[in-house]
Amino acid sequence: MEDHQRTRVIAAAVGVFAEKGYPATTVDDLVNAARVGVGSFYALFGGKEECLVAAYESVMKEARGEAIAAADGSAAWAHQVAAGLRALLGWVQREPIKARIALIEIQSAGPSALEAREETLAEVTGFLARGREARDLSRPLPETLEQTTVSGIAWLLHRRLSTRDVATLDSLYGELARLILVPYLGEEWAEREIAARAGALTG
Amino acid sequence: MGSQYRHPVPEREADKSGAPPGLPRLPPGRHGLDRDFVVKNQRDRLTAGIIAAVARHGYHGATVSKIVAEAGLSRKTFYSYFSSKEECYLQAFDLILDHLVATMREAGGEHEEWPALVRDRIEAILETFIANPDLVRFAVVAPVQAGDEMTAHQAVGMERLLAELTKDKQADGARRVSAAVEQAQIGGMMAVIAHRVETGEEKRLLELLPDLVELFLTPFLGEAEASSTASLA
Repeated sequence: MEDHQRTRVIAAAVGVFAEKGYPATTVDDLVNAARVGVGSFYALFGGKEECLVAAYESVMKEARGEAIAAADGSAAWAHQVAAGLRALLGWVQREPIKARIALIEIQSAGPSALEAREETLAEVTGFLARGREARDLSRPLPETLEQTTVSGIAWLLHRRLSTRDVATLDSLYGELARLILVPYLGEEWAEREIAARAGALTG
Repeated sequence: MGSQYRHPVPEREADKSGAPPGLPRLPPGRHGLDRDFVVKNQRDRLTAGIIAAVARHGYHGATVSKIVAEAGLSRKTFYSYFSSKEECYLQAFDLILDHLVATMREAGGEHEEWPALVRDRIEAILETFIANPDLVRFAVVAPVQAGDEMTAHQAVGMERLLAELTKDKQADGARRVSAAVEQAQIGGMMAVIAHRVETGEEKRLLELLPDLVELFLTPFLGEAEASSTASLA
């Protein structure tokens, strides 16, 4: 029962936070949208920040699922990166409300929200950093490479969502894949991986 | 509320709270300073006040009371210059951007090629931030917490920095880089800087210089040339 209600509140909260923005959202807004009592809300969440973090975890679970489903876990790292990127761009394009929670609202709340976001960033940068193993290390890559790439793309998506300009996000696949992969693979290899993925998914 | 006080009243109770560091304090009572000086001085103090308050309390936590406490001025004085906290924030943000752009323009020798100019310009940004890390908390960290309007304003600021970094590029036959990738590059650079400041490593910002230069230049010049410019950083 409680699980069912929790799911319902989270689903409603995604819509409310995305529409009003986290700072302007009140617990009243959340309980009204979810049609639950204030008491039930506080039985589930300590407050609106905890509810936002739960909404964030829920949308991230979906996004992560999309990326994992698209990327063959046994395939080479570069394949997985390219397929995962493509899946994520598609998800943001199809689910701008959920993506808004994942990329924008989570940044307007307090420390526990920022911590949840840091965990996601660490997970993604950690996965990208595995590309360093594939590289012949004549010269080390910049230490901040993954952080720069991931937060840079997050900023780009943030702006697109904020200006409601997501209809053609999937067309950025090639140039963003290049931005991510070239440092690890060099240009020639990276192009080959990107073309392979683009063909596999559109064909 | 509006600005009902057309002529800002010289502050008389400035001594009650501590003056922000680095800013001159007005003598108490009626004094001989002309009004332009007072206006400039009070405006500067409010600007310094909002920067300190937002850096310390975040955008939403920085109330007008906290801003005027940092500035050592009254609420009444605040509202004689600004109709709202938002207005004060946006003006301070633009002043910081003007300052950053000016320092980037001063950086770099006259006969330097574009890659070296990029290095000098990024160095100028880092040095400005090291001298006052509150500028990072105010202009890079706070807007994303503040909502769409402030982030849109921040995006315009990022565009200005990007335009300044890429100025003089054509002469060097750099590749064309899409607007999306450029946006990711400047966003990524600022996020890395912000992260350092938030983890208390602001004194070590300059150590980021080679990385930031290389990562910024790579899409334009290819990896080899980008890293050779970075290694000079």
